[in-house]
Amino acid sequence: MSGNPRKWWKANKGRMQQKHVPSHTPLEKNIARNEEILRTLYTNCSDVVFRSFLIFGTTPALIIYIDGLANIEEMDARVLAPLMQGRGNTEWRTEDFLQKVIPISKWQEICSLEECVESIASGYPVLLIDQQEKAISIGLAKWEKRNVEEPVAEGVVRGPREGFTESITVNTSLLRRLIKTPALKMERREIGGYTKTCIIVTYIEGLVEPSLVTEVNSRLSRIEIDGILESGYIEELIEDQPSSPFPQILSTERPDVVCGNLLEGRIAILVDGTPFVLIAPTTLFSLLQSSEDYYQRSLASTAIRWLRYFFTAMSFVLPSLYVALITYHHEMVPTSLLISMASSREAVPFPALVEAMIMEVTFEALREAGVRLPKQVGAAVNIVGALVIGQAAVQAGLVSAPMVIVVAITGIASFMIPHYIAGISIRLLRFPMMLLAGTLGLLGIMLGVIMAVVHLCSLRSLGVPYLSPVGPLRVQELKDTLVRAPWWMMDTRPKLLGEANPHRQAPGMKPGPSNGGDAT
Amino acid sequence: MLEKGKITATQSGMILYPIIMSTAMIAGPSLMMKHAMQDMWITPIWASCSGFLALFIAKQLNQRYVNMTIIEQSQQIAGTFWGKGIGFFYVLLFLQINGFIVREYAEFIALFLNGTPLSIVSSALVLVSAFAVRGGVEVIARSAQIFFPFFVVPFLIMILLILKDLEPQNILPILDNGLLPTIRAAVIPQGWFSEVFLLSFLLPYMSDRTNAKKAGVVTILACLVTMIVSNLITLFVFGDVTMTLLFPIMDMARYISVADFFENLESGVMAVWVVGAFVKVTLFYYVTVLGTAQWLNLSNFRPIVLPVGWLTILFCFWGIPDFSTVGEINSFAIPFLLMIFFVFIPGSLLLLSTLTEKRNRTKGVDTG
Repeated sequence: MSGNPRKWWKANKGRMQQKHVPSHTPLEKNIARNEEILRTLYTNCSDVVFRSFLIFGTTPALIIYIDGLANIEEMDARVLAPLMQGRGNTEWRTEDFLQKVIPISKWQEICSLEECVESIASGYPVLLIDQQEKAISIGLAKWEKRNVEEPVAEGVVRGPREGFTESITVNTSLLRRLIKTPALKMERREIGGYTKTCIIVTYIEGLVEPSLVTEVNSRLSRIEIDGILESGYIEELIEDQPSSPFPQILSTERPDVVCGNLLEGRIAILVDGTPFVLIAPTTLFSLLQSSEDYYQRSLASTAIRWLRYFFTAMSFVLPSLYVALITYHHEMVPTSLLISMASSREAVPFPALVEAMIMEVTFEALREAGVRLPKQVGAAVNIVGALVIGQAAVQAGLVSAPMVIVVAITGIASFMIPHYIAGISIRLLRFPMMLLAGTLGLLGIMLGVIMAVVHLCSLRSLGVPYLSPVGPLRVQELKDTLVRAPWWMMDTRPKLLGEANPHRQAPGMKPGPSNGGDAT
Repeated sequence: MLEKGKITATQSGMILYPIIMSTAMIAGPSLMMKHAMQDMWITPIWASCSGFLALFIAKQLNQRYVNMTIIEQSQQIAGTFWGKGIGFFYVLLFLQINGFIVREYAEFIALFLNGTPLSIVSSALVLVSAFAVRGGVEVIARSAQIFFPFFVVPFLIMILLILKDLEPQNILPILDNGLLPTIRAAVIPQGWFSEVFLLSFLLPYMSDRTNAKKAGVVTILACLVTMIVSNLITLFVFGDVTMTLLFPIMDMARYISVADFFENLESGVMAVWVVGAFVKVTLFYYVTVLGTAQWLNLSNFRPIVLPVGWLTILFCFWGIPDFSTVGEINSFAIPFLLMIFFVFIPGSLLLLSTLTEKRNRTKGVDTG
């Protein structure tokens, strides 16, 4: 491959995307010819089954399916049995079979080889009948899939325990069960030359700003890729600012989170093969909100939100603050605290910056090892990690005890962010912050914070400012950002881009005791 | 148009407040006390007049020439040749003033980071500002909005913490020397207030221009109150000594000691001041860049952001050998430069445009 990659792609696009399947070849009347073409297509595909038989003992027919994707028992009972044992007219056309003999509800007529291959690959067996121009795709797909389970990455104490699965049909049904209006639209498309992954864009008509849907669809149609294996591919391909460390699209495993966002006028993108559903547009504050905030009492949720904001800030600046205080600004620390800190640092051979770097990197390594390792080994990592970085390192005088405390608090703080992915980006940013603190002290930290805020201010997610409703300020919407107002106060929807249907509920729903109940 | 972003009147107020206050908070009290003695708390009232005047002029010019900054307005009013000339001096002034602000900030920061060269301190801030300027007016406005509470709340906390050390009798005798010294002391702070004229560069991008006047007046009043309060507080704490202090507010922070834990808060003052300086430098920087781009009829201002930043760093060293010169420039050159460029020249342009308009109208009547 040489020269301009864009030119090369244009010239070879067809070859890359559809290597073997001829496009728009109509089926032939002669079944033997059709079988020959399909058999050559599926050479060396041991999982594809060709089953020929005679309809009513006379007309040759062929069923093609992929072993493990089709419901064989049902097919035997509902398709093969009536066709082989029943009686009928040899003059019948395709529709007649479906109307009179085959008792199945989901089917589709197929006219081309291309559709044939697509149907077989999706798990739907294809029935070819001799002397007919149309084949039938029988809706008897069935494959092994995971049950609906509690999501692992987003736990709640109170709230629904359902999580999405890898099957997109299950996922859409989970959404449809929560939002029953026909205004819930699901636009289907396929992306990926080889994988042909099913992508569904879903939104509630009347709540979503129409321009957002157009924008999402146009960004999705730009994608030309060989395969989509996870929604992360889509996320990176439709972001506004790809070089930013902050995720501009929310991903979640929870149907209730998706529905809550749909009701706020956002768009969800479901991808087949992954339990992670994308939600856009997203703001920084939605990354810091958990679905449980809306199920708990509002006062508790508000307090927890503030705790979360505080610790998010801590996970960003705490290690660098410690480095700056130890290195440059002794006078800011109260004397008694300074003395105890200095005495514990006495034996440490490294400057504070190096010490902090070592410890933070070790922490990240332990975290990553804990995620990746099999559960049985995970416990061992935990013990070794706790002993090594917790105790032995301090006793050996390699690091100081306050440093260990700082690292531990930072680690825990970053895990308080309800969306694991967002936690990683903030944790990443604390390393440049530590460098700044180690070189310019408090000034460095301030400049780093300013830089981060400026960057966040310039970010947009699908055109919606990332820091809204704080910058630009929308006082109305602070009710769901600074606090979590009780539901009877949440009268208006967040204003994302337009103002499609701004009212969420009837005003003045504040509950109270019925009047005069006490007097009687 | 060069700038496609939109801001609100409230946001512009939140930009202007730290612009006026970040300088005033640091050196204000001692500079004003030099002339007005214990009556220095009256001085901001006189000084704020220039702010109101600048606001009025900026608003009037904008009403006549909508969607234009002073650089473009001057060409409309005085003709292309003279207009370009005026624009050139404006751009030069912005560069010079911004360089000076960066220097002032760097000198202040250097108190905390002894050993770090001034060039590092100043270029670090200019770099961060360049980042914001590239984002355009929208990013500047949003970040100013987010930083606003971080600029105001610490000041309030500081007042709260120092309340027990106040000695209100320091204010006496009131107006011992008459009003004149307080007016004379207003020469320096009036320059800071006149910076409200920078609204000329924000008005064209305001989505709710009808609220601009209100936001401007509220901003000036807020600055006025803050200045009076900070003058009074320093007077109550330090009395006559204020005059000899370089950075009285910082010394006040050093003075605070609550429960043996909240001590030596001057690093906190520095942190807050970095935020204020960032907003101030960024706006002046943005105005320089936008003005230059408009002056040169460029189609995009982003390519000149870094070159202008480089010039700003140079201007912060050119002609300013040491800290005492900074003080001299601050009290002798800057107030007059600001007054000329932010009140006098725009005022004359406004007058010119009114006169020509009137003449054209009478001409029209004659011929018709």
